[in-house]
Amino acid sequence: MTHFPQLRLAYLYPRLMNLYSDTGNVWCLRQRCRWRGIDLVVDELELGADPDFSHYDLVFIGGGEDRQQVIAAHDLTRVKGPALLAALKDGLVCLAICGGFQLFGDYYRPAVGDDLPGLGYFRAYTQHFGPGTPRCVGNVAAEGPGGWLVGFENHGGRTTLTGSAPLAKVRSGFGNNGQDGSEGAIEGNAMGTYLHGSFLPKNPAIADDLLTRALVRRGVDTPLPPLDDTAETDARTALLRKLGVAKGAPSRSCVS
Amino acid sequence: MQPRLTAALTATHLATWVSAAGGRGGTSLPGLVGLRIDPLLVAKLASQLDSTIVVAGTNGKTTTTAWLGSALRADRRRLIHNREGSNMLRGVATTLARRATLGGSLVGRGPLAGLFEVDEAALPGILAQVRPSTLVLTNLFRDQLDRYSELALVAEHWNAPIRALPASSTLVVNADDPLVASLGEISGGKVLYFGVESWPGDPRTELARSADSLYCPACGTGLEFASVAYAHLGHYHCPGCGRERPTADVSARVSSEGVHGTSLTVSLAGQSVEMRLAAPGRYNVYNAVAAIAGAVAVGVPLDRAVAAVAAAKGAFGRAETIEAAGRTVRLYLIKNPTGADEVLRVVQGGQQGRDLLTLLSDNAADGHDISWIWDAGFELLAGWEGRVTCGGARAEDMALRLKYAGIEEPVVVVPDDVGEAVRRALDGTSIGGTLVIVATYTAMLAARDALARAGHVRQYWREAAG
Repeated sequence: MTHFPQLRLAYLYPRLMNLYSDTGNVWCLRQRCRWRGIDLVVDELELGADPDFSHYDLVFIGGGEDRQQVIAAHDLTRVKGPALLAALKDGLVCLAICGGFQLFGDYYRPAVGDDLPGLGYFRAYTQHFGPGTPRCVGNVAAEGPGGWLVGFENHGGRTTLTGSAPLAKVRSGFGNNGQDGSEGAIEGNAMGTYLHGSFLPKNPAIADDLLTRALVRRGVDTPLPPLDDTAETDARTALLRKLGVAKGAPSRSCVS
Repeated sequence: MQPRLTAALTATHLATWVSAAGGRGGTSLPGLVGLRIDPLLVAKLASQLDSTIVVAGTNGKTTTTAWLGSALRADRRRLIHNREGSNMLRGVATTLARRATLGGSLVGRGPLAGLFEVDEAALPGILAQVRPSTLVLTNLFRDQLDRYSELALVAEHWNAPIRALPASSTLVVNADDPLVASLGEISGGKVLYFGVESWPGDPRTELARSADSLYCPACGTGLEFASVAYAHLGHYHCPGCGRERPTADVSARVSSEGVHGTSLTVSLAGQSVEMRLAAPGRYNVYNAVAAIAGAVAVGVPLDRAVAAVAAAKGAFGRAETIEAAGRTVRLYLIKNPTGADEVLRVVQGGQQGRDLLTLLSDNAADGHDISWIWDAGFELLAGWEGRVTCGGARAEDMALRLKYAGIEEPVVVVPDDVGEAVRRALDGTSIGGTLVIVATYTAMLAARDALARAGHVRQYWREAAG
C-alpha cells in the first residue's frame, strides 16, 4: 500500500460560515481520506486566527448570512488576507462555496451601502440588486469538463467572472448570475461554486480532484486508490433525472 | 348580514364537503377558497373569540400547541384549535370557518378561545388579522431556508407585530434561545419567560455543529455558554455587551432523563410541581415547559397545567408508537438539523439493534433543500446493527448521508413510493420486533397513510374531528 503524506486542511469560520450545511464537504473529504488510509488533519480557524497558510494543503470556506459574511469579510481581508492570498497563488488547493466564493472574489456590492472588499483571488465580483430581485434558489445541474455537477443553490448576489474561468456550464438552475450560464470559478488550484447540498458527497470526482491536486503539490504522483461510489452515483443520477437533464440515465427502481 | 363573508363561508363549507367526499382531509384548500372571496375572513371570525393564543417557532410547535390545548381543556376552556397541522393563514381560516354559521357567527355558547399553531413565516400575516391575548414563541432554528433564506430575517419580520402587541397581551418567550429571548424586550405587552435551569449530570458545554443563534442579537459578539441544553438553547451571556439570559419565570429542573421519558420539577413564583413526561428528549422538555407557561399566562393554575401536560399524548407523527402486523412501529418526525439531532439521540440511546426506516422527501412542506441532512448528526447511528431502509423522494441522498455517517451495512433503497418503502421495511422486521421510522413531514404523512390503509392507525383528520 502506498504511503500518503499527512494532509492539512484549513477550515475557515466553521461557526460563522455554515449556513447550508457546508460542513458536509469537510466531512466528505475526511471520510474519503480515511477510507484510503490518508491522514487528513482539519484545523478550524475562526475569527482572529492568523496561521501560516503555507503549512496547509487545502482550505475550505462555506456560506453565511449577510451579517456574518460582513464579519468574516473584515477578518478575511485584515487578518488572514496576505498570508492566505500568497498561499493560494502558490497553489494551495481551495474550495469556496456560496458566500465564501463571493468573499474570495474582488468585491461584493450590496444594494445599499459601500462595496465590501473581498480577498481578491478569483477574478470575479458579486452584486446584490436588492430585495426586488428574486434570490436564485433551487436544484442545479451543470456540465463541467469532468462531467455533471449537481447540488442546490440559494443566493441573492449575482457573480460576474472578469478573468477566472467558470467551473461548469449551467444546464438547469441559475449558477453565478442566471444570465451567462456560468457556474462557479476555477483559478489555479482553487474552485468556487454556488452549489451546496452538500456539494462534495454528490460530486465525488471533485472531492478526489481536490485531494489529487493537494498530493501532486506535495510531489506525490501515485493516483488515489478508487472507492466504491455506487451510493454517490445513485444520488447524482436521481437528481439528474429529477431535473430532466441527463440523457440515458438509468431509470429509478428499487435497488437492494 | 355580511354578504361577502357569507359567500366565502358557503364556498369554504362546499370545499370542505367536496374534499371530505374525495376521502381526503382537506386542511388548507377550504380556507384558501374562502380567503379568495373574503380576504378578511379570519379577522371577521377571530374578532368573535374571547381570547386567542398563538404559538410560533421552528421546532416543536405542533406538540407544544397540542399540550397547551390539553391544559386549557383540563381547565374547562372551550377551544377552537387548528390541530390538523395546517398552520398558514388558510389553515386558520379553515379551522374558524368550520365552526361558523353561514351568517358569519361562531357557533356555541359560553366563552370561546382560539388556539392557533402558526408557521414562522406566516406569523406577521396572521397577527394582522388575529389579535392574540397570548403569543408563545418557542425557538428559532434554521429550517427550510429555501423559503425563509435567513434566520435573522424571520426574527426581523416578527419585530413589528411584536412591538404592536396590545398592553393587555402576554408574550411568552424562551429565555434559553438568545434570539427569541431578545424579542421579550420589544413587546408592547407583558412578558413571561420560560426556561430550563438544570439537567442531570455534568452540563454539556459543547455546541452542536448545527447550532444557529451563536452571536449576540444586540452587539454581534460570539455568545459564551455556561451550559447547553441542546443546539443553541442554554445559559448564555455576551462577553461583548454583558447581555445575559433573562431569568425564567416558569422554570424547570430536570432530575432524570432517558428513552422512556423525563422527570422534572416546574416552578413559578415560589410554587413547584413535580412531573413525569413520557415523551423522551430534551426538545420535549422545552415543548412541555412552553405549553405550561402558555397555560399559566392565560390563567390556568400551575398544578393543573402540569398534570394535563403530563397526561397528554404526543402530537401526530411526533414520537408515536403504533402496533402494526405484530411489530412495534415508532414514528419520529425530523425536519431540520436540531430537531433531527435530538431525535437521533433518542433513537440511538434506546433502539440500537432495531430496524430503521429513514424517509426523506423534498416537497414544499419538507423544504426543497435537503442540505440540512449533512448538518444533522447521523453519525450517532454509526455501526447501527439492524436493517436499514431509505425511502422518500430523496431516498438516495439519505442513503449517501448514512454511508458517510458510518453505516457500513448496505442499506435498502426504495425511492419515491413511501407506501412501498414502509411495506418492505415492515416485511423485513421480524414479528415481535421494532421498526423505527424517522421521516420528514410529507413522508410522515405518506407513511401514516400507508399504515392507515393497512388498518394499523386511524387517519389523523378523523382523529382530529373526534
